[in-house]
Amino acid sequence: MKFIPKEVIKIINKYHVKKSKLLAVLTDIQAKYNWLPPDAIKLVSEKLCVPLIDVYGVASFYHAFSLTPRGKHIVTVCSGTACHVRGAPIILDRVQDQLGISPGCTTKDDQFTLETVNCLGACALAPIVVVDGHYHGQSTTQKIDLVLTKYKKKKKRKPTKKSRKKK
Amino acid sequence: MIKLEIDKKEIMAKKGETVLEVAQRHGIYIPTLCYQKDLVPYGGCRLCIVEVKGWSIPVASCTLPVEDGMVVKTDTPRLKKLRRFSLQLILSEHPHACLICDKEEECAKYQECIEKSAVTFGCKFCARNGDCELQELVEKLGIKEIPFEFSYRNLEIEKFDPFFERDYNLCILCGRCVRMCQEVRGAGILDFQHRGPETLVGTAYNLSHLEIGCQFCGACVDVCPTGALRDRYSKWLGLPERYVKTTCALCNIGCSIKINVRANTVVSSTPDNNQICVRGRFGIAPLVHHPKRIISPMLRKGERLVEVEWEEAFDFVCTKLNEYRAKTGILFSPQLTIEAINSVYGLADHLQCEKLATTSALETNLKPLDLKGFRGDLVFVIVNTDMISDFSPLLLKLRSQQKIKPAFIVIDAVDSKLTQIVDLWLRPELGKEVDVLKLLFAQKKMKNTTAVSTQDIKLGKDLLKKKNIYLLYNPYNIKNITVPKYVKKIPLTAKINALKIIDMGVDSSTMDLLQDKNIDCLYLLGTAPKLNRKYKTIIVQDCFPPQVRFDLFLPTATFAEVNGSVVNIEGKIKRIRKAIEPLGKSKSDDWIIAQISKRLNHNTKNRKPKKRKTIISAIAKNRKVGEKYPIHLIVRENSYSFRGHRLSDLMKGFERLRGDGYVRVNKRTAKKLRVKDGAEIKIIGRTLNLVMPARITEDVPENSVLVYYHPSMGAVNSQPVRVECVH
Amino acid sequence: MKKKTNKEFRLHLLICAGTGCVANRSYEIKEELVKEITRRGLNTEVRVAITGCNGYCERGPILVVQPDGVFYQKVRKEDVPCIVEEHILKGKPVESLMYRPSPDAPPISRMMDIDFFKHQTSVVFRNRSRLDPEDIEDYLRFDGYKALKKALVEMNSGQIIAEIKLSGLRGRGGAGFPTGLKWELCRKSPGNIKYIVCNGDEGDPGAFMDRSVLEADPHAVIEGMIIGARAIGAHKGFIYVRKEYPLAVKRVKIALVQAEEYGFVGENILGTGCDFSVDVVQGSGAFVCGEETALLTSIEGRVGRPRPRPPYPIEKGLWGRPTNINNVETWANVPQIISKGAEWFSGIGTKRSKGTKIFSLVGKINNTGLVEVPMGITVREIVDEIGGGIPGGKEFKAVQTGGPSGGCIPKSLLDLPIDYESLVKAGSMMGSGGMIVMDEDTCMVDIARYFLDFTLHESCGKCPSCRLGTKQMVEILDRITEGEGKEGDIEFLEDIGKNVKLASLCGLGQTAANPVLTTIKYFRDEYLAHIKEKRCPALVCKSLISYVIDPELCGGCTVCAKNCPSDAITGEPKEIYTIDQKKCTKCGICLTVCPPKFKAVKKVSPPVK
Repeated sequence: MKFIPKEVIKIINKYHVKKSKLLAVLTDIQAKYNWLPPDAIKLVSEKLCVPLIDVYGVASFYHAFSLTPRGKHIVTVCSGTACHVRGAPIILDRVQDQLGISPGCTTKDDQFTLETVNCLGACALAPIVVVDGHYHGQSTTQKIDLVLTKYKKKKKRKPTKKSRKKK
Repeated sequence: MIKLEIDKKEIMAKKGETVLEVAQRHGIYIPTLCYQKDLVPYGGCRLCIVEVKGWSIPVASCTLPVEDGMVVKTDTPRLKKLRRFSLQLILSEHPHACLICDKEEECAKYQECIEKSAVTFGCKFCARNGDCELQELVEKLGIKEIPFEFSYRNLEIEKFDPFFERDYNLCILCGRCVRMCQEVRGAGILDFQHRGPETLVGTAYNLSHLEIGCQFCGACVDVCPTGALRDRYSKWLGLPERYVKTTCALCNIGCSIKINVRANTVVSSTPDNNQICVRGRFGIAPLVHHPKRIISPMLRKGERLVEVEWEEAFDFVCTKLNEYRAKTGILFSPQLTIEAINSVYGLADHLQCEKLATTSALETNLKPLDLKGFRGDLVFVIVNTDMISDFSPLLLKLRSQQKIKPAFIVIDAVDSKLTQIVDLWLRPELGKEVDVLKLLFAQKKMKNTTAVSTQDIKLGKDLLKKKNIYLLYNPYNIKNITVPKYVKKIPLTAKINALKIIDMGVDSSTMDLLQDKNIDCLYLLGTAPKLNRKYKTIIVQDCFPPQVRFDLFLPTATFAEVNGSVVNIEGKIKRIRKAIEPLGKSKSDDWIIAQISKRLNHNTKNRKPKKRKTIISAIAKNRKVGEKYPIHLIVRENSYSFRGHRLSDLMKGFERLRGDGYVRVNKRTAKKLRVKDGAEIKIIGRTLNLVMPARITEDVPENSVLVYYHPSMGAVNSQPVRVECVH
Repeated sequence: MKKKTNKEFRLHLLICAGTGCVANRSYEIKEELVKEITRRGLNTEVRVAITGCNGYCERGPILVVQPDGVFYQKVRKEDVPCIVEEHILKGKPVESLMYRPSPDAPPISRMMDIDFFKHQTSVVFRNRSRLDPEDIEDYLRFDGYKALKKALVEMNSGQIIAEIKLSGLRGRGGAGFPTGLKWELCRKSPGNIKYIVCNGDEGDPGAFMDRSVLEADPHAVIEGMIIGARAIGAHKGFIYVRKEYPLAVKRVKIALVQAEEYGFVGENILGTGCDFSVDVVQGSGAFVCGEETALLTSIEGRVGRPRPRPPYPIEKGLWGRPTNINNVETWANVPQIISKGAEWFSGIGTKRSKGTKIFSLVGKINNTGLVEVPMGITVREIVDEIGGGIPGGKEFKAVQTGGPSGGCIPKSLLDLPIDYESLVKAGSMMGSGGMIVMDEDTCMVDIARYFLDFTLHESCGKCPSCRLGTKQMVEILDRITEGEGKEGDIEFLEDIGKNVKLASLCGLGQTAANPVLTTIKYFRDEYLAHIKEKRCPALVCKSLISYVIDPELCGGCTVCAKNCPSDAITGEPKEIYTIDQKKCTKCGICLTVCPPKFKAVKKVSPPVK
């Protein structure tokens, strides 16, 4: 999504231009764009009168924020303890192999971002993989292969649709 | 008073003190690393831990406030073990091969290690070798081995920026630089980033310090306990042998500094328990030892310039001065010592010369700044003045005036990077600054004709409510200020000794003097202004070659090489002390003039120089931009100069930081005018014709260009101009 | 037509909308129920509502029919017509959807008769599966805000604090500091402006009780906070919730709006002249922000790095003002203590630890979920009676409590009564209440490495002991799990661990080594097996195991070879397949795909060369 200054200013105004609401502002921007574009960070710094470095420091400290653009699909593997003892590391290995990226990275085609999370608090479903907000509980390597293929296919279809339209 | 026990000694302490402070005052040694006087205790290095009776685990003494009846132990086996543990861990991330090398002694003796160790592993090739707090602590804590695996961060050394380099492979994350940058300097350039093992110190987006707006005050470098931050100039000059406490004469604040010397070389200049700026920190050593300095008298013989002895030079001067006497015009830079200025006035009196002026325009409505006179809740309104780059040590003093932080409002069309530390920045169009002031202080409703929103004006009014208001402005940059009487005006100028010279008076403005047709001989102390006509003789007394054709050059010493005094912005007399002997044949200004006076049979002793009339600075006409001259030219005082020479022209670092030889062009305006960065452009006004290279920036407002005044520009002030590209 | 009040319905169908059940599509079931009920014109007598986490997440999605308390488990969309037809119209509860302890056992209809709930004591969870967290009317129906009225109208701040002190309530967030004492200290702390904070930054992986409380009964937390604010003299409160819990944030925000509408929050509460407002602050993914000083800086909008104490937050907290922090569960206990009295509360629990504690029972356990038990209950009771033992008949190995700051409790301590002190004595801690059960297939070295790696990456990076000490330990553990362990490693780990505990600034570092130290203490033989025999007894550490096909069992079905991503399995159909260890990446797919009738793929350790 393209960064539009007006939208960011709207978010800042929503929190009454308060310095203490920096985290909330960044959270909203992150929610909007899926990452924190540098221009947005600069704008927040200016508007809230917080030095750029402080905004950047906060953005880099908290894992909820991403300083690099994220992929279209976010694959989150829970690495909470319950998931860990129920085999999350094997699942994570598999997802890494499948996507060819390590946690925190985005595939070259910007389709997938792989992330790990400390705990989603849905331990009964362990091990859990979340793709774009959809929980896939009691995952196995096979299940996860299926899920990922589904998303990969989605990606392939899109360009053909476009090309059809052009015709 | 609080009574506590440290290491079985009964000790009295004041409320609010920390255990570490009290222990240090009583000579009890507690190792520290992240602790730094004047910074908020951090408690991060875990070396200053102590045992407190009643506490199950050791606590950091730097953050522990004293309490009545506290029983503290600073040196138990457990503490020793834990301190060693923490330091060993720190060293597991810091190249330490040399620190624990058993061949250390031979290495020191033969000045060369048998087992070569690069900077990535050991200290041998570290610029701070011998001046490193880690080395000291390893010695004190008796560390002989590091049981942990060494991990080298393998980061690139950051060499891009001027003045100092950063090797974060050596950083131990003590946070001193971060706290210095944020707490003391309020600059907000450095901070911790990321977390856990990836924690690093750096700038936002790892941009260079230049890009991020660092002012290079060097305070971070001075508090770094390791070689992570280091001064580039002095890097390989060796450790200083001694220092001399003196005053920085590069601007009107006149900060106390230490000049660090090795043999007869100025290695560096550092703050003397205070805060200074980039000029005093990084400008002095390279200035003193600048390769362009002329250190022997030069006399023009025919077309050639010949090095001569002082005697021959004096003969020439005396002959000429005797010949022209009152037809001599003397132009001097305010950046001399008071003693030198006095002798210049004495010489002028002797010659009955009525043409004495300074090399650059001087504002007359100045008065001493009373730093102790601020009372109550303060608010400072800063108009058209770049407090950060011109007066940062002063700004810091103002910030720490009261327990409650004073409020700051800036009114400036130019972005002076103050925005992040001030409470409100009002950015009007050029020339409307005075109107904004009127709006701010208006009792009744007033029509707002400026670009500043009425909401912002209201915010400003709220800030001003029930406060003692001080108006800070540089009279060079803004004229015709009118404010209510309850607002105290504090005019600021960057020229040192300005108060002294105003007190003594000058005969005319620089420009008037240069237009005077009766002058045959020009005696310049400092750089030469733009000359409009020819003179029979030009004598230059300076450190660096002038840009005009001269007949005689008398080499003077810089303020690091002479004794004397200066008067600063507060009207205080500050000592200048000789740190090194004058280089080559150069001599102090007052010695040179004394020699001349002696040869002219003028007795300089006990004679008070004659007071001269004071020149009132001209009131600038506020002209509007029009079709013919559509661009605003903003002229600001250049406070980055030495005897009129731009520091920017002399030192690469200053050129990159300031680029005072460039004209700043607004980005969008540049696009419109098709001006490219670095390309020469012509600035044409009613009485003006300048050619300068352009630098494109967003700091200046649209439809405007900004230059910093330099004597070579001649008479120039803010006015509408036309900008043309030079092809 | 006037909206029907909740009291007037004949039946309440409460569908669990905790994160676990939502992930199992409980909202779809709710929609289906609403549709079906409306279709049959029952919407005037039957109410369909959501409810907060029931706790028995293993059996989700859960539907409870009140007021009878009929418990339906693993409900699917397709079951809805049947439930409406049989139960609601005909009054015959659907037995096929009820819980059975074993496949042949008779079904249990009422929730409270199920083993999982029978042994629990519901104080904080008293409203579970009873009310709709997004409807304040429901909360009021079950005596909600009565304690507030009592505290504000009948008691002064001294009396409130005295009551809390008398109850013996201790902080449920970790160290167990007496709540009443904390309030008193904060009240006495000089200053006009004071704050109270609800710490809902539940960062321990595998712990989700705070989330559940916020999701299921947000008003209880808010009520507790208002009472606390009254006692301390605060007018502003903050609820800090982890970013990973969007549902909790949503529910709390709704609850706050409703509480304000009803005059429980805001100015002049209940006409008593008390003012109190609450802000919800969302965390941003930093475990260390659960540490109180870090949490406070985070609320201020800065980087959450812990700062040294003293000064404690009760003296200098938010923006330098006295601030009282308690966690979600602690606040949720407060209204009940006020309304039922300190004596009632202190009647539950042990001598020094009063009341109940919620644990999230997860890992290798049959009944994953949240359990609220009185203090002093033994680990065995929780695991066996409530948790229903280990799945697959595997052998119990240990429970881990207190998250990354806690430690492991081995089989030998199964009869340990759980309270603050006993857990610390065993080398662990209460923490926020995560209880992770581990069986024979869990490698304790791997678990130690897992927790330490967690702490390392959550360390704020300030102290060398935490930032670098744990890093060194992780490196050693990495080596051990990779089969590169050396003699002396265990002792070195213990040494570093003890030093890290003593040399660090905040709770994170001071407890970081606990998982390693307790696993070494109780499972030293596993470490030795890794180091000396290069063997992982639990068959977990990748470098120390091999996948092999048992020639005796292999049926030659080709499934493993077809699924192997690295073509490491060769063989002919109907023949015996073999794994080429050089090609094998140990992804374990062959193990999962091998048909149960063969079970031919096995893990072995030490690895085959």
